[in-house]
Amino acid sequence: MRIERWRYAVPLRLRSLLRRGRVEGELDEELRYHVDRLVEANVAKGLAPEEARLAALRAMNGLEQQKEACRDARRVTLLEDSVADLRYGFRSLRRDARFTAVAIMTLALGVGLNAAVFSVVNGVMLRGLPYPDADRLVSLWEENLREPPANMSTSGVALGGASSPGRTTVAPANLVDYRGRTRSFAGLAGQSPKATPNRGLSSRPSRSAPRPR
Amino acid sequence: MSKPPDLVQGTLDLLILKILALEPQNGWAISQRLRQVSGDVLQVSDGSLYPALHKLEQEGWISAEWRPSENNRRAKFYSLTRPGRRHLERETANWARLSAAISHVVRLREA
Repeated sequence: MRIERWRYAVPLRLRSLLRRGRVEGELDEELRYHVDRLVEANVAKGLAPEEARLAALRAMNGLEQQKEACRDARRVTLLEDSVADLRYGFRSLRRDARFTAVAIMTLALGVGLNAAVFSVVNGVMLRGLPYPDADRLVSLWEENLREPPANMSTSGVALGGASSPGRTTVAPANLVDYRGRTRSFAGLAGQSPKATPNRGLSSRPSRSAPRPR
Repeated sequence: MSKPPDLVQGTLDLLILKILALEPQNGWAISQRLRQVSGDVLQVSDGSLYPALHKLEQEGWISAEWRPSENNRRAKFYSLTRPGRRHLERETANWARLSAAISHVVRLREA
């Protein structure tokens, strides 16, 4: 809708909302005027007053329906109806305390569960790992592309990722070599399934690792 | 419900705007005018005029004002707004285009 039309439409909408009684009164008056003129015309045509009135109302084609259609034209019925529904909702809640208690408990339970699940998801999946430059942390592993030989049986587990059947444990000596020769990473660290660092390898990234170029 | 069946959809609005372009009128006078100028061909039920008027008012095409009518009772007079006048021009052009096209099709001779 263009700005110029809003100049007419906005005051009308506000008036329909805020001066509802007045607007309704005017609707009544407007239609009553029409009906009265119709009655006059019918009387002038020679009908009896009572008959003239009935004919006029028939000609209006359902006075109440027309009024309702005029109210719909105001485009605020949705808002008015929603307010009425809300009021009705609050009234029913006040009337039935047991139902209200159940409803509130259901809501509280839902909200609580949601918060709990979210805090877990947030901690495990969304928030970064508690290391410096956590957004630059990646996991590396060795993988057998073909069938792993029978004598190499253990499979590696990636940091925060699922293990695939082809993954193997990185030998500590390999890790030392990787660490010494890598050019793509600032540093490398090993992770052991056991909680304690073993065989002299740190389970945490070393802070003395060279910074990336 | 609000539109009489023998009136082409949407034309009631056009008729009302045209009548109001001539001079501001109240609902009753508009209905009388409609009946006169169309020679009773266009029958608009007295009631269904008002939803159409209120819709046009809410759209900003027409504006309303309470004034004493010819029998000294106050009545709601509608008049065309400036955007309404432009809308009427557009709709009139549309109508001319559409009705010309339809008459053309209807007059086609069978081979």
